[in-house]
Amino acid sequence: MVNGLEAQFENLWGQTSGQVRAYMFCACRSWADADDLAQDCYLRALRGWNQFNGTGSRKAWLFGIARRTRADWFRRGGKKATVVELAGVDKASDDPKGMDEDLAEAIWQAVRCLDDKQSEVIHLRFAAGLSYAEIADAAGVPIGTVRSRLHKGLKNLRQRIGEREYGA
Amino acid sequence: MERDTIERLAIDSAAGELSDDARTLFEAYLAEHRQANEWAQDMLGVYEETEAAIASKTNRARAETRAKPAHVFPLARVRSRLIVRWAAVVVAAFGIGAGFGRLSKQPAIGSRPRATSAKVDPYVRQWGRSLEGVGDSFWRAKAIASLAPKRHLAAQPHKSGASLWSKYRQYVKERRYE
Repeated sequence: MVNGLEAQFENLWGQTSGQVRAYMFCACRSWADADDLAQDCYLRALRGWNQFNGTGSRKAWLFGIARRTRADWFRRGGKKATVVELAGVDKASDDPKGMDEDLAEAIWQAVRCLDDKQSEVIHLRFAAGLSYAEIADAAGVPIGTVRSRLHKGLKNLRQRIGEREYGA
Repeated sequence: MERDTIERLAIDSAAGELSDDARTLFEAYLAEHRQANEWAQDMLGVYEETEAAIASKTNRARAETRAKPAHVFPLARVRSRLIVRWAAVVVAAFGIGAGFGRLSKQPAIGSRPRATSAKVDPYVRQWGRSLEGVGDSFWRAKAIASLAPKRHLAAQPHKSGASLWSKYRQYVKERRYE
């Protein structure tokens, strides 16, 4: 491998590996599977390194590959969460700085039960920490669509968890 | 403004996707409109809770990544995969070669070559008669083989139909080599 390419690749790896793993974990909920998917994603990126056409960022390009890797995993039989009963979720937490585990689990499950496009945008935003522009590049949709999906996803979440759980 | 618009702007503001000017205007608007401010705070709560919930589940990814040296993975794994692939090719080639070798096995040392068997080859039978007293050993087989005429050399000059001139040329050639 050319040294320059190796350095670029390792740089990208250093910047994004945590985000890619987190994004994969959102899909499979297993760190072992997330590691495998992340590795698969980076191998694909390495093989197609020269296919990056320079539009957008390398990070967005990588997450485009991550999306396809994740979609392939689902197609191969990766499990999707079933709808869970969220009634009776108690937001009260003894630790004001921390988050109640039940509520975190409820939101986590609820996100997975959203429409695929909405949950994907939420994962790309909150797990991978991508900007709207990067999500748009990765998903191949306009920024307005990203904005709309994020809004609809959060609205649906609020509906699932219950408006009384959040309040001014 | 409608509730949806307020909520979208609240999300954009929380995500840092509003320009400074737009953010200032939005905050000024919320300060003047209590209902809009409640809607915005409501959606902001959903945004922050979702962010915290996902972060609490995925923090491990970031923590473990910091602990792992960047150069170990994935290039090391890519290289090791290449090495394993090449090793598999070498093993496969060795296996194929060994298979062919086994099928075309040479006679063991000390065994009599088929071509020199006096029972089968008429040439060997003819020349072997002079060695009948020697015994049935490895060296007998070798001696018979060396005495047998070289058919590939002998065949051409004595072909039926060869002219007298070509026979003479062959004779001259052989004399010259002798």
